[in-house]
Amino acid sequence: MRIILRTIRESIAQAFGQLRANKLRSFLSLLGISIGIFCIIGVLSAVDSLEDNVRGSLEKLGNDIIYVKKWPWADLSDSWWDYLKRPNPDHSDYEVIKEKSRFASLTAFHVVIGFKTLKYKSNSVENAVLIGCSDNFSEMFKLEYDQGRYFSPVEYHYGSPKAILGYKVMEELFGSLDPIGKTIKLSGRNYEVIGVIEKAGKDLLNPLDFDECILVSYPNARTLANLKANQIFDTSVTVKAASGVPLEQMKDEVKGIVRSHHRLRPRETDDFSLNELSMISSFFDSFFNILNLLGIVIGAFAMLVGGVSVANIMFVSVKERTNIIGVKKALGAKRYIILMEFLIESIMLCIIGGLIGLLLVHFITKILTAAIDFDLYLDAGNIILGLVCSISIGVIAGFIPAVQASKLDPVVAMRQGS
Amino acid sequence: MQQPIISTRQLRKIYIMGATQVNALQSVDIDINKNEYVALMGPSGSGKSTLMNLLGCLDSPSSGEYWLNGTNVSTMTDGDLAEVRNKEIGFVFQTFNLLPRLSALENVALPLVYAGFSKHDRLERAREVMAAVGLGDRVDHKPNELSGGQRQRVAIARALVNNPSIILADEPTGNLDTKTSHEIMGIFEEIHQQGNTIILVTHEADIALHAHRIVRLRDGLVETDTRNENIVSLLNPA
Repeated sequence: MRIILRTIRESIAQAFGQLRANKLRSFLSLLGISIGIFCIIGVLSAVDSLEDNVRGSLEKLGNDIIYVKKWPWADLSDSWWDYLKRPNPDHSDYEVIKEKSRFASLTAFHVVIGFKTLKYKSNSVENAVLIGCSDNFSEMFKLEYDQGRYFSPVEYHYGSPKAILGYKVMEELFGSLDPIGKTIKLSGRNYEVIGVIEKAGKDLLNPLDFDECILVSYPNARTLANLKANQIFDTSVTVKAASGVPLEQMKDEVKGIVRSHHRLRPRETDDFSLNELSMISSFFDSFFNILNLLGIVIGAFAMLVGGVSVANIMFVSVKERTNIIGVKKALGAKRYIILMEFLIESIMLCIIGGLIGLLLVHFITKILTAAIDFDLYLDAGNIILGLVCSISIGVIAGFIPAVQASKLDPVVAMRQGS
Repeated sequence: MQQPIISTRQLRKIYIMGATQVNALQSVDIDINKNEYVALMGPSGSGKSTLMNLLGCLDSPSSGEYWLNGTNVSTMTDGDLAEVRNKEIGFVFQTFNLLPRLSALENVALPLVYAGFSKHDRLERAREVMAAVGLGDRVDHKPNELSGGQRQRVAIARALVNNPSIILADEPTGNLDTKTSHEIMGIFEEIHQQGNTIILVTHEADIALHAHRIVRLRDGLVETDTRNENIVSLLNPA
C-alpha cells in the first residue's frame, strides 16, 4: 500500500516534470479539454443562473397564492372559444371568497384596465398601465414604496382621486422633482400622487413589474370605466393560503365557493381558472431541462475532441519514452507502476485542462455579470462536476496508451531510440 | 561445495519470426558461483545477447531451467520477474540508459523507488554508492552534464545500489575510449574484490581478459568455458 501511494506521488511529480518539459505540446493538447469543460460548465452555469433568476422572479408570484382568473396560465385543453365565453371574475367573487374562505389568510382583487396617458404640467407619459386595486392589494404583493404609501382605508372607501405611480412612470413624469402631493391628469381628471413603488429588479422575468403602472383604488376605478360590462379588462382575484394550509386544500375550497357563487350545477364545468405558480414553473422546468441537455451534448462533443487529443499526446509520449520505459522495467518497475505513471500523467493533463476551462468560465461569468448587470455565477457543484468530467476523460483517454506502455517488452523497448 | 548463484540447465530460446524459427540459444548449461568474474564472449549471432537477457530475467526461456540464487525463475510471471530484476540483478548497459531528466543521484536511487524505500533512505544509500564509484561530487548533475565515463560510473552505481546477487554488464566499454574503458574496468575489478558477482558480456578480447573466467558462445551453444590464466589487473599490475 505504501508503495502504491509513493508511486502515485512520484507519478504526479513526474507528470508535472513532463508537462514542464513539453510546455507547448501539453498546452495544445489540454486546450481541447479546456474548451470541452468550458462548454459544459459554461452552459450549465448559465442555465443554473438563469434558472435561479427566473425561479426567484416567479417566487414573487407566491408559492401560496391562487389566482382566480378567466384564462388558465397553462394547459389550454378546452377549446379557446369556451374560455372566451367565460365571465371575468369580478369584485363580487372577491367579496364572496373573502367572506367564506376559512383557509385563506388574505384575499385581494385587481383589474387591469389598460393603457392610459398621464400628464403633469407639460410632461406626459403614454401607455401607463392603469390598475384598479382592492384595499389589501399592497399587502398581497408585498409592495415596497420608494416614496409615500398605499391608499388609506378612508381614501379607499370613498374612492378618493389618489394614485400610486410605478417608478418609471414617476421618473418620466417628474424627473428629479418630488412627486408626492403633486396633481396629475388621468382621462381628464385630477389625481393626487400619494406613493411611488420601488423600482423592480433587473430580473429576466418580471411577473409583477409595476414600473410602468399607475394604481388607483377599485372604488375609484369603477368610476373611470364600466367594469361590469366590459370583457376586455383583465381581472384577478388572488387568494393567499394561511400558513400551514396546503394549497390544494384551499384550492378545493375556493373552487366550491366560486362554483356556488356562479350557481354552477354539479355537472357543469368551471367557468373560471385557478392558477398557481407551479403551473408556470413546471413549464420552465422542461425548458431548462432542454437547455441543460443541449449544453451537455455540445460539451460532450467538445470533451470527445479533447479526449482524443489527450489520447493522441499520450500515444506520442509513450512512443517517445519507449527507451525510458524499457530501462525502468529492467530496473524492476512492475506493469502497474508504468500503467499508473501514464494514467496519472493523462489525468493530470486533463485536470489542468479542466481547471483552465473552469477559470475561463469563472472570468467570463464575472465579466458578463458586470457587463449585463445580471447575476451569473459558477457554483461549487459545477466546479466538482467539471473536475469529475476531467478526471474521467483523463482515465479514458490515458488508458489504452498506458496499457500499451505497461506491456512493452523491456528488451525491445530499451533497444529503441537509445 | 557452495551452491552456485546462477545455474542453467538446457536453457533454450527460440524466436519465431513469421514462418521461420530462429534458435537463438540451443541448450546452455552454465553454473556461476558467488564472487565469480565471468566474461561472456562470442561473435554476433552467437546467442550471447539472448543469454544475457535470460540471465538478466528480461526474457523467459522457451524451455530449460534457470535457477537464480536458489529459486527457479524460468517459470515466473512478468511481475515476479520485475521483482527479481529489482532485487537480484544490477544492469550496466553499453548505452548507459540513464534517465535524462533525473539527476545522477535520482538515477542511482531509481531501483530503490521500485523496491519501496523511503525517499530519505533512497537518497542516503544512493549517495554512498555514488561516493564509492568516485562521483560523490557529481550527485546533482544531469546525465548530459557528465562525460561518458562518468555516465557509465553513474550506471554502475545504479547497478550496485540494491546490493544485487549479480551484476550484468552488457558491453560496458562499447561507447567509451580506451582510457575511460580502463577506468571503468578498474571499477569492475574493485567491486569484484568487494565480493560481487560480475558477468561481463563483450566481444573485445582485451576487455574479456579482465575477467577470471571466459565463456565463449557459438551458434547458441557454449563453445569453451575456461579459466583466464593471464588476468589483466589494473589494481595489481603485473
